[in-house]
Amino acid sequence: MTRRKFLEAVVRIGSAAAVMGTVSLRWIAEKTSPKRFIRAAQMNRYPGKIKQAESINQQGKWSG
Amino acid sequence: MNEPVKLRGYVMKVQCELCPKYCLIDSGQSGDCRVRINLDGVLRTVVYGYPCSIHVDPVEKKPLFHFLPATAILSLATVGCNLHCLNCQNWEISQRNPEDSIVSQYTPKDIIALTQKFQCPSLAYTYTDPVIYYEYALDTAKLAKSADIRNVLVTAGYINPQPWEELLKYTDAANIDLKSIDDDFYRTICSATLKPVQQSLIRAAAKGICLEITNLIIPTLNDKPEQIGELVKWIKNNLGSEIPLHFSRFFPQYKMRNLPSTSAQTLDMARQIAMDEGMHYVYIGNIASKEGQNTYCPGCKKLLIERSGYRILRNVLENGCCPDCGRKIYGVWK
Repeated sequence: MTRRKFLEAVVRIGSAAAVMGTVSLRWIAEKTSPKRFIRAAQMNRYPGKIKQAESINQQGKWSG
Repeated sequence: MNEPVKLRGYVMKVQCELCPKYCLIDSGQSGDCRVRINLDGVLRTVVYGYPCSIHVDPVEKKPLFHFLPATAILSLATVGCNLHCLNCQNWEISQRNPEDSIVSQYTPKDIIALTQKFQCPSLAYTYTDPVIYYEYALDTAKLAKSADIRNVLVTAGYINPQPWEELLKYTDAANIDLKSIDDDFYRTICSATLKPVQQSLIRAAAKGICLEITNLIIPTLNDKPEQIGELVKWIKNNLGSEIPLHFSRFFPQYKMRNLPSTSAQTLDMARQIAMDEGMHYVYIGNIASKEGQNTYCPGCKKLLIERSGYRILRNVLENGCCPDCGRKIYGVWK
């Protein structure tokens, strides 16, 4: 291998590595940053107690 | 759906962009509202379909004085709130963790059926704040609209513009709290900020929904004439003089039991300031008041709607207009 061919190979491999590195870093940055949501998905079950609502037809005791 | 990535069991944080708090939530933790949680890298609402309170109220209780007077309104809430007002009147539900609460189970479809069963022409998302049960309120509101039921929001308006605009599409009326015109008040008393609330108010007014505003007057904190004057000026300049304004009486509650109740004189003074400033409909709430609960024609001063508490004693409006001078009165009357 001549010196020129050797240098060309180094540049080629270096460029490819740089591109792959950049893409990987962007992928990692994207995947590790917090996911942003406006709407939340539903849960399968409620963590507290559930019971039948009472006296719906009466005025609520809460303000508003 | 954003798929989370697990790196050796570590689940990413999620950011809730529903309200201006932009909570960054660790896996298994909830946001500031207590009801939106990060479950395995996905934001989930705990309270969808699980109201903690459902009641049939008079619409005047919201308070809404210019929206279908003397009608019943099915009112619902879930636990949680994105504000933590030290004076909260409903703190037993707004500042409670879902796991410590007893709730009932109603899908949006069930809520519509209940509204029809009790013959309520409208449905209120109230008591705590519909912002934190946004998905539940929005889905129910969409169904209500298609069932010819009107939607009412009772809220602090602390929400980001995009979800707010979406909710407003299905909203017929709202009572929005403007707690103070001072950002420091919002920060120290409510753990929130003023500007997003002002933006929500402007957007709601621009949408043309029937809007009313409530300002709770707390002794020593927001009861000075100049503070009230500034608040009224902002409303008049940004929303107009037609928007009904309710000055509400404070009672010592929750973490603010060291202050006295608001005096009748202070409430009367606030009402006078607002009327002098040119607001057309100014009311006093949470206290018996003769004139402060009635609606008068801004043109000829005729008594149009006489109220006692939440009851309508007399309503002489004719097609939403003053019977004497014919002036159109702001509101939705049928």
